Amino acid sequence: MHRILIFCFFLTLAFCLVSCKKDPEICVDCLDDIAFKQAVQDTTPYILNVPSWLPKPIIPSDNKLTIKGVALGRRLFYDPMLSKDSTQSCASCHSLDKSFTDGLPLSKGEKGLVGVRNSMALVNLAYNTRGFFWDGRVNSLETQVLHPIEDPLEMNNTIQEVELRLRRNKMYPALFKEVFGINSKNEITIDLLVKAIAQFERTLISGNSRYDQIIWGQKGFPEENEARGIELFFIEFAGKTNHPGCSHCHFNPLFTDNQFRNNGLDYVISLLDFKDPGRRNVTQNINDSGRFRVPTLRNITYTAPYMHDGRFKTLEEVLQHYEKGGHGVINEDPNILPFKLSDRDKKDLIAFLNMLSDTSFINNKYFSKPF
Amino acid sequence: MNKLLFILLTFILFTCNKETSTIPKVNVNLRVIGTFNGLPLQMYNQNYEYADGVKIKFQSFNFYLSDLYLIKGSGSGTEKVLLSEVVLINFKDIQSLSAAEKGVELVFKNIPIGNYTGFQAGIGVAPRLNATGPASYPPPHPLDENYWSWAAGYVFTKIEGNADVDNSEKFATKLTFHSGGDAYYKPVTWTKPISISKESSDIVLTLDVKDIIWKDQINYIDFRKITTDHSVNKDIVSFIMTNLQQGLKYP
Repeated sequence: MHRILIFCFFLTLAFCLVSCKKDPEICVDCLDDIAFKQAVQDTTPYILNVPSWLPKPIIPSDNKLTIKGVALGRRLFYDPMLSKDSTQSCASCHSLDKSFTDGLPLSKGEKGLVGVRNSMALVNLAYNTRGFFWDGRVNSLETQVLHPIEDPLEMNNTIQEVELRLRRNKMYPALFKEVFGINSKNEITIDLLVKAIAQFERTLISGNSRYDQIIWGQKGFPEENEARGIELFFIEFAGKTNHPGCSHCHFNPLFTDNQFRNNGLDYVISLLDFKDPGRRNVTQNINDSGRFRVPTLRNITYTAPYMHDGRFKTLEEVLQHYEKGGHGVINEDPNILPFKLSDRDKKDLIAFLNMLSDTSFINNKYFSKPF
Repeated sequence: MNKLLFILLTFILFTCNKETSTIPKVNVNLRVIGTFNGLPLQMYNQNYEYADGVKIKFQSFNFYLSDLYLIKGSGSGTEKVLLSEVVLINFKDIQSLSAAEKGVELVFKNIPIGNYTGFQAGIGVAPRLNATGPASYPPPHPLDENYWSWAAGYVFTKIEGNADVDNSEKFATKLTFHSGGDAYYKPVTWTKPISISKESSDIVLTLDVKDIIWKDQINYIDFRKITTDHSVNKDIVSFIMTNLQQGLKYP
């Protein structure tokens, strides 16, 4: 019995020693890490290849694109370690094959919790200066990256935890050093993480659709139905009811103006009655109630369902909504007016919208998961 | 002799350069104060009596000014100082009384102080700029919006809002008047002494929006008959653009 007790004592002691050893492994400032020590900052610029028909992308002077920075951002974008339970990455709601949306009406976060809005396409973000998210609540892409990490309905994590995980990680410290020239793993901060992801996101330029190739690239011609769709989409003949006037908000070449509008989705008696206040949550201005950012129509075929709450499954449903001309709510955009399209018109208009699909974008291997 | 000429030329160039660079520069504020029938112009939050018992509310009112210059001197000795190639005067966010009284404000940096004899601006988008498009202007830029792809040009002025045509207070009639086109672009010069100094650097323009849509009891846009035009009805475009050019005042 005495021997058993002594054995148990030593067993317990050994267990404690082993488990206590775990902590020193989580060394946050190990300069003996060979990879980290050997890593050298590389600021080789990343040259964005932008078609001549798109504007020059806006790159902030304090976060210029580098090859290493974009590569790090891409890796982080696809890494589920950013979420609390390591199940959700940015790509969970922003899937390349869906033009970086998720195909759901409302996005799902950690543990399957349902969010409050539809996942927005990550396309041509480098041109948006009017605020990100549906309600434009943040002004920079860097700040935008931070929000899903901390949102309880998305990644549900904390800044401290993410920083700790990155510092502990065997691979990331060296990669951060290559990009930002840090001297210590402790210098890995959330600020550097968001910079890297924003760098990657700024490379997500889409401007090589069939429409682009025909209209700007002078390669080929639209089919007859597409040509009719182009005319229906762009031409605004006031007084005639067979032109929807889509290009008021979705004009060339970005197919969005990134403004905030009430596009007539819901009838409310008072502006305070909107189920989702939209832009009002940001500005506290009652006139901004029910207003949301105009999304790009580039790659619209890949980004169903539509609207901020994903209420429309198809483009046909979207057209049916706009055809009604809204509900007459006082802050409804005055350009939302009723129109009448024939079945053929609708098919042709959708044929044009399909022309905005950029297959080279959704098949771009440099945008895909790198591991 | 050549050396002497070289020294002389260098001296002249040096002194000329010195003179221009020593003129102090300040920021010039351009304010455009809008009214409607004399009342401060507010978007959304104010109803305005119009014609024939119709009341209106505005959601948006904007217009472009191109080639803004301060003018010095006259005749062959006229000098021009460029303030900006193009600006958008946008009342979209002028929603409170205090904002309306202040008006839309734009700042032009590094303008030489001095006594100027006038101010010049084109009402609309100058043809050379109107031939471009948003692809040429990384946002934020005045020309990154208000673009008509179908007309390959910009909307020079937008008037958007709602009308109450049946006295129901519902303001159910939507109003959208978008006007533009090279033919309607017009430079305007306001001749008036303008002293730009460290103490005074404001240029204040005024505009009563009723003057744009209502000229007299006969000539006005009747919102019971027409509620929208996108530069298709040339009479309306001409009416709006001419009135805008005449209505913008430098009092």
